[in-house]
Amino acid sequence: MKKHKSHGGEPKGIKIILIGISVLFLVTMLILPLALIITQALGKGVRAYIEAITDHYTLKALQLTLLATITAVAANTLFGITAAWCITKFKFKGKQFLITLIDLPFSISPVIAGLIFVLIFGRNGLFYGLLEQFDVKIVFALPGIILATIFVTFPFVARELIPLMEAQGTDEEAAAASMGAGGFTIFWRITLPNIKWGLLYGIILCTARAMGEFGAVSVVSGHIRGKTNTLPLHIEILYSEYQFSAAFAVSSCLVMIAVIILILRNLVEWKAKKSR
Amino acid sequence: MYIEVNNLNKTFGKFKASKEVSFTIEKGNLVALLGPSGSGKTTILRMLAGLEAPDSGDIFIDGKRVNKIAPGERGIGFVFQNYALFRHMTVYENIAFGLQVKKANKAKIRQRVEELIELVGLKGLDKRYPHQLSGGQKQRVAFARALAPGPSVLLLDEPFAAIDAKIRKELRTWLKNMIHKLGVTSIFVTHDQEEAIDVADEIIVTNLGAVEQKGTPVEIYKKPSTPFVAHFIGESSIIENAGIFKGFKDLHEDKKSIIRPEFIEIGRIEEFVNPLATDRGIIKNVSFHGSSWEISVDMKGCLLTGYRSLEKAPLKVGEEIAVLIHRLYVFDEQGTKIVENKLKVDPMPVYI
Repeated sequence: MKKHKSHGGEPKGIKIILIGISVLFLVTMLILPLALIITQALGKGVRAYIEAITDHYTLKALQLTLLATITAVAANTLFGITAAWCITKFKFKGKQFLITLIDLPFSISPVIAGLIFVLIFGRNGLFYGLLEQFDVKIVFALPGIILATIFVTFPFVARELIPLMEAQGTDEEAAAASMGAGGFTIFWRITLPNIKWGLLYGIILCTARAMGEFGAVSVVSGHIRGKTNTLPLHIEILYSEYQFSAAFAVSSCLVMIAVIILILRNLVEWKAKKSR
Repeated sequence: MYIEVNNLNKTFGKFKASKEVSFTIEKGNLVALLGPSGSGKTTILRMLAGLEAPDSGDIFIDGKRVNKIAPGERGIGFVFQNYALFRHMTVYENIAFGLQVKKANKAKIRQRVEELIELVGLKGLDKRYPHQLSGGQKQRVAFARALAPGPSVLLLDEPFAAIDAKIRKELRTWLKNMIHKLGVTSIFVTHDQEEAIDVADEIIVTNLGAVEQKGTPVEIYKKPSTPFVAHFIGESSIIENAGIFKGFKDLHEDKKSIIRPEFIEIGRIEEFVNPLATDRGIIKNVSFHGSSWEISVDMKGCLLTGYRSLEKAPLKVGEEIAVLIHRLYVFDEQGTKIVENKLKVDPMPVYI
């Protein structure tokens, strides 16, 4: 009897089993929940759905989420480029330490990240007196939410750029410098065009994460409806108030944004591959 | 002197990349910086370009000290080892970059770039991107790009290293002719002695961060001033005690000397006119070298290498043969001396 073998050399049976496990896993972990969100969201009819997502507090939460995301992504893009630039284009001591530091938010629980800001800027915090004098509120206000979002999402852009810029080396920059180009010209005309796809990819990942951030923001927000509630926090409140279909309706908004980001991500990845 | 370098020193951490490097270069010369990898030749080139700052020492270009002058202001064109072409720019844009940075006007840039594309023979390829070019074409672009702003000095880091052997020779000749035609003072780094001898007007040999010798290819080959140069340029065998060979009895036993393959003759005893000047040896290895046989001989414990014409009778491994050493290099405090075989000239000539 002839044995059927796939390219990897494994028998056909194993291939089918492996594919089966993956499909089963994906269905239970991803597709089922997504389908559930949609059906639950529409559970009380389309009218209730539209009402839920056009609710005053929902729109306020969406506004806040967008504001926090845009600010955090802008800040992290700037930071990511700066960090990746200095790590890959210069030699200095403590470089490895800096890279480890950049990874820190990945390994710290977001709740702790939130607590850090409460401890620094909160009522018992180090800078509370100073902030009070100038009447600046950070914790339980917009600045705190933005800070927490920045903290949680700051590795994304830098992480994406460091390996890319490392691989590209510094020769092109040196060539430009030897022709008399200044630092800004070199960055704008040589470095940035070379990293643009990687940068865009990092920004997209950063955006996705910033939109959905719950833990850290939950600690610093104070959950004031219409003021310091972001979309994920709003969903949680709706859910704990037993407004299930409203909660799912708002969730479906986040899901839709996530899907759009995912499509953008793939588009960028495909473009980046093509440009190589 | 157009370029003058005095006592340059440079360390990277604990590694001394340059040690008291000094040399001068005349205007219009094409000079090779030749040395094994890690000998500090690229560091010297990068210091000249201003991409690396020396720890101490001076660099003068055209009488002006340039240590404190930015790379772009030194009037230098630099061709990088892997060309470092701007990957997202076309050939045209690559060449135009240096002129755009210098804020030349558009019409002038167009004229200059087109002139250079014509000069390096890349007409019709101006809209291509670097990844659409062959190695040789990339090098031509890198060369044109470095020349675009009209530099007075051209620096090339291993310009032929990334090109396959077949077109390397052709490109070598092309580059040499081009540089001489333009009359731009040029320095190129290489680890390939054949390349340096073939292309350069002058060679600066470096080793362990220091300059060993500077001279024309012929001088370097014929009068190596250190054992390193003698060994690095051309093929050679190092002999620790040359005094044991026939014809070199006057030498001190412990004198270090070097024998090149072309200094010795290997053959059966009856082939020599004056067998008295020859030593006996055993053939260790025979290999075909294209135009000749390369033969290794064990003679009094020393392994010598020599060539033998294909016209002569072939020799076999293990055969006892005669070896005539015409001359050898001896090193002492003053430098190299060429010592000729004393017995080569027949001591008792017979006149008819």
